[in-house]
Amino acid sequence: MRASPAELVQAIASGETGAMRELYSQFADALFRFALLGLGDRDAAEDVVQETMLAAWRGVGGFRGESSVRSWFFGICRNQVALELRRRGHAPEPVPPDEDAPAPEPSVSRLEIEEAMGMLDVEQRQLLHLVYVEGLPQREVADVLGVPVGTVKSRLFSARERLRSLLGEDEP
Amino acid sequence: MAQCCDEIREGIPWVVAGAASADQRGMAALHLARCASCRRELAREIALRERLRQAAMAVPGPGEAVWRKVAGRLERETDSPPERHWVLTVLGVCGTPALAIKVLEGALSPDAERPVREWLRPWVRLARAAL
Repeated sequence: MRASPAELVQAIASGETGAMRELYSQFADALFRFALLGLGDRDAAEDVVQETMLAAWRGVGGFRGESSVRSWFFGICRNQVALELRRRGHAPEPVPPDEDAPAPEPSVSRLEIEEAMGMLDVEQRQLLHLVYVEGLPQREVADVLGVPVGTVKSRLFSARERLRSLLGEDEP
Repeated sequence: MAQCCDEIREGIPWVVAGAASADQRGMAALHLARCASCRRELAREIALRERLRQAAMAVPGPGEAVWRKVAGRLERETDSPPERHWVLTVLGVCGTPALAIKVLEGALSPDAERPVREWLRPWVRLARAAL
């Protein structure tokens, strides 16, 4: 049976570093997509995934289980993205996230979404992603972004309206 | 649009994502059953989520190459002593002789017995020179 993220974190805290492999399998893709949204290039997003995994390993003793393991990882990943953006000294260019990836020919709908997402600011992209793609509950989104639940709701409203407007889907 | 509609619409993204609380789901179900406008909003939310998910899931993940880098760094960090041990080592190297000097200086104070002071004086000089 597949171990839960909480069990894996407990195993790592007890010194079983092998459990990191399973945590990587469970979270790497999601963390990578999240990092890519903020940074706009695959190499930097891969570096952020590395740093996130290592930061989680180093900080596992401080994880008290007050949030889910998933939101804990996203929180670390978000901090790593912010560090990278500060290191660059500017916000990322609004580049479609995976233009150099070996992916199948993207559909028109996907290109539209990527282009529209690229025009939002990083926080709006991250928020929409956590809610619509990752399906994190309100409390966990608030934990990841470090804001109250009420702020999550109001920011989501603005981000969603902006995205719809960019997609030409304003309310009739 | 009623205030109730605002509240329901605020929670719809989480209802659609299956991440709403039982209370939110219950309230939404009751409201949606009698509000055509919010049902249209629900349909738009479902469509938006589907587009966002499809775009996100089409992005290839980082793969095994990144795991190999993580594993290599974990191995190096596990093999080498953590940084905090260096701090303790430095404190041990510098702190212990400093403490010893303080003890010896106490022994050499005017309150200490004269033979003890005479015997200890060269050792204190030696320790100071070594630091």
